[in-house]
Amino acid sequence: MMAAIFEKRRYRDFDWLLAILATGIVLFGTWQIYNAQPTANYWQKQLIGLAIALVTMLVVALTDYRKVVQYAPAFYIFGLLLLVIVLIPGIGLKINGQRCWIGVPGVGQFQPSEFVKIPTILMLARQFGKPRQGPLSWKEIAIGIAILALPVGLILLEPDAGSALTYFPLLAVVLFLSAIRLWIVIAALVLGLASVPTAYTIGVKTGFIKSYQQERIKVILDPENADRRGYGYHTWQSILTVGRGRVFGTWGETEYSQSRLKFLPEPHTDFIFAVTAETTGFVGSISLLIAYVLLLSRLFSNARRAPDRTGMLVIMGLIGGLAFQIFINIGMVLGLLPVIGVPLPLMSAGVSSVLATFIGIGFAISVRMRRFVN
Amino acid sequence: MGVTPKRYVMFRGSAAHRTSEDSVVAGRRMRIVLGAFILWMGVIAGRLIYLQTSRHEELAARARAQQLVQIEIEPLRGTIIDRQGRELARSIETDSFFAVPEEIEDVQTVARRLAPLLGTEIGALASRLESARAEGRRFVWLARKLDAERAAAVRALALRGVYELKEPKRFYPNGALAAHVLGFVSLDEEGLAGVERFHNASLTGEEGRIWIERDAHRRSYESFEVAAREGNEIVLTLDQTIQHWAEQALQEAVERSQARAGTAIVLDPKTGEILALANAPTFDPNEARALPPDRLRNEALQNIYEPGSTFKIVSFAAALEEGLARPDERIDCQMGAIVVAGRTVHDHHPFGILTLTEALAKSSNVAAIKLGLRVGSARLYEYIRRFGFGAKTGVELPGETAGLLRPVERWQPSSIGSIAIGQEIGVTPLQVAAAFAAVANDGVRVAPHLVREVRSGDGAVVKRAQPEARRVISAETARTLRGMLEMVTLKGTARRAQLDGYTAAGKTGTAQKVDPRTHAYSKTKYVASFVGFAPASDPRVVIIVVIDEPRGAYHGGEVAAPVFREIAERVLPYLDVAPDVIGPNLADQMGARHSEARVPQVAIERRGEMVLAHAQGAGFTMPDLRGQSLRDAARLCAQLGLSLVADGEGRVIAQEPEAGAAVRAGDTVRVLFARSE
Repeated sequence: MMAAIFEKRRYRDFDWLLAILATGIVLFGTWQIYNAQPTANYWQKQLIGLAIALVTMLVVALTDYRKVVQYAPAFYIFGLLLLVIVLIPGIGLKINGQRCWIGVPGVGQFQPSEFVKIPTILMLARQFGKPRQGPLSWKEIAIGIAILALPVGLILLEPDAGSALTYFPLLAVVLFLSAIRLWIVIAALVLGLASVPTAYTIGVKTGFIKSYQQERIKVILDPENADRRGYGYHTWQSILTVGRGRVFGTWGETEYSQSRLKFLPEPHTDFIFAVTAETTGFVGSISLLIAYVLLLSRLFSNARRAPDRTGMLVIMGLIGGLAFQIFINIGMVLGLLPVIGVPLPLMSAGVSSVLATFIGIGFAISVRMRRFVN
Repeated sequence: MGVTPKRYVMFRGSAAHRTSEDSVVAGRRMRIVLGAFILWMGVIAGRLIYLQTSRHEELAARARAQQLVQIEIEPLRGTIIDRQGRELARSIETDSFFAVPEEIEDVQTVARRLAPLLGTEIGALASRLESARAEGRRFVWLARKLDAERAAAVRALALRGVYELKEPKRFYPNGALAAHVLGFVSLDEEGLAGVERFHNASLTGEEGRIWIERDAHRRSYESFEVAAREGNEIVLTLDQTIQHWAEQALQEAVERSQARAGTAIVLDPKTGEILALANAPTFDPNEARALPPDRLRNEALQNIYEPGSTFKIVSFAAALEEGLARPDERIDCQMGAIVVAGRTVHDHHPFGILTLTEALAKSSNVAAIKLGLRVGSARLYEYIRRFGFGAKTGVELPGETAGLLRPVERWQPSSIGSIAIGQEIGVTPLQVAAAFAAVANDGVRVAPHLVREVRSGDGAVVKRAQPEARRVISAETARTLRGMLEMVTLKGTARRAQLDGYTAAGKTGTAQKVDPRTHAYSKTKYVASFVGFAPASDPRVVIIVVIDEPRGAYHGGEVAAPVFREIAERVLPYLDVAPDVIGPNLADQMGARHSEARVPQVAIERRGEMVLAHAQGAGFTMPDLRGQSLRDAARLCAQLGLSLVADGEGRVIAQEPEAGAAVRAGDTVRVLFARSE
């Protein structure tokens, strides 16, 4: 009897909107992956990945996140272990000079750096989730930095700077929401904004920043006049692809498709948004952005309804990670930010990325389902 | 179940119920995070609008440009045909070879095997390839536009890194025939002289394009083509047969008189169409690029000479038209001397009192000057201009000169005494021919022209000749002049211009050339000319013959008039002009013809031919072409006025009509070529 009521309640409280939004974006993304590489099997892999991700999400959603957070250190250590294993030649696969894949016989390969975000968020939430008063102490900040530094350091050894970068917003959001003193936030922002040009100038003068690195920065400052055949190639091709889309897009016309003719690099992963802009035009791109806003808003509302601070921080960490990746990826595609290998969440082809995101969403649903408990 | 609505409400954000300062901070800061994200979305949307609307055209075009490779296709240059549709110039596909140096394994071996076939030195070829390879060039011409045999030999070597390319090559099937009219082209098929140059743009056509869709790895996918528009076909007014006769007669005359050069033009006075325009010496436009430029000069419209007595027609025409003279009027030739403004002009022979007709027939300078003086400088100048001197005729050939004619204000007092007899003035043979054509055409001068029609590749007429026609003198004056000019051939200086079966009229000219060193009239260098038309009463052709610097006999009547006769006697029957003189020969009846004017044997032959011509209409028997090369067969057919349709390559193995069959000029001969393996 109780079980039946419980089941019924679970069904009612399950966050269908979140699950449907996330699934819809993945399906839309699969269509774009097909548009980008119709002859390759990426889109089929993506569908299989979605199926696995949905099942995993359900399992996570039905599990009480508080229990999981209790065991966060174990997951965290296991994650770090994976990041160490991936560095071992023979186990870790080297692709494009980066050793960031672990091959699993019979299953395929996965990218630990995508998954380790989850235990990192859990670890941070556990650390800062206790009800608290007053601003953060320096010790607490130092602990937070340490939790982040371990996985980031290991990922930088792969080396995968793009993935490492996506870890920073996890800590930033948690600290920001943990009443870190506002002056520290402002100081960090000012310091960050000021240090970039200063470091650049010093770097150029001392020769620490190589000429090709300068070239990459020039590409962002003025992509149209940068070397379009060299470092500016990715950005320029991406801008061309986006520009072709017009208002309503090309809708799968095969003629002159930038991605099918392979002018657009990595069309199914990092530059999937350019393919979206080309095939579905402004209308499709904006629709996708709205879907992201809805997804994040829903997560946001889940965070506000969280029964405790831990749950709130888990979801906000997830929001921070997703928003940051969307920010970086689309900025790169539109030539507003430098080329950094960061996938677009839920859109880019890659089972690891989709699975990790759905695990995160699973936690968000789990938090929501337990909003009335206790 | 432990539900705490209070906590729920609290977390919904009503500040009054908040218990935790931390939660207040968290709530506010969450909104900041969300706000920043939405701001970013706005930037993204703006960027998307910018790239996808205002920059769309430009970016799409650039994307397209990098995805398409454009290959230009050279259009086939238009043919040049004569008035009967016989090909005078056409483009054929030939084989060119180029090398991709980096693909050649052993330059020395390749050079050693290729050089003999290409007619180059092994060392030179090897070093050319080596240096190209060193410079990283991907394309080096080896040989362009090879003939089929040599191309096959090169192809048979099957050398690595040596590639073949089809290129059109201009081919003049008749060799030197009408060379000065046709002109020639550069290796890149650009017209450099003649009609080829004048109508270069029209003949060239428009190049086509093949677009090939390609990917970033330069693999090609779909392609589409914008077809090249073939060059226009130029239909000349020339008649290949007449052209051939004119060239033949002229060439013989130039050789006979060991002259420097010569020009002959056959003009239809009614239409202004140039039926033949010949220069000697001539050249083969197939090999013209190697020749010095002076050999390529078109004397017919670039050679300025003093016309001498042929120009007297202007003085006579002016005096008659102005009513200042009558043909039967008697004029005192003052025993061969007249003083004009202190300068004495002599006749070549002292004449007394002559009728004007006789004076023209005997080419009296004194009579011509007297008529000129009657007309006066101003009016004479006006007539000179009206006849078309001092201005370009506008014929469709490059390099035409207007000649030398000073405006009347700059004439010396003695000038009229010179100009009335064709001195102190420079003209071109074509200008003189056009002036006589005006007389022949009842006083209307139709601008001489060479191009009848321009047709597009599909045969539609793009442009049709519309020559300017203007009255120069009255029909009455023209008829009178024709009668007087006929007497020149009957009783005057041009008796050798008399024709078998036709009346003829014309005027001789013998002008001393100005020695460029002394600026005085040369005693040894002359320009002998004859310009005339036939039949005299209703002229169908005007023919001018100019022989430059003949040796030995130098009078126009001796040197040029026979050439006129030779051409006219062949052309008139060919044009189906009915003979207007009965009996073997009018001149014979009058007993005025010099018996040595013709070699008897030649005369008999010609008579025989004429009879045949009347019976069969310029028919003859078909020669055997078997075993001949394309070029030889084409040349022979051109000489016979036959139009050749060739198929295959190599040597002739079959022909139609067969050898011995009766054919006439203008007939089409089909010839099959094959290679003997």
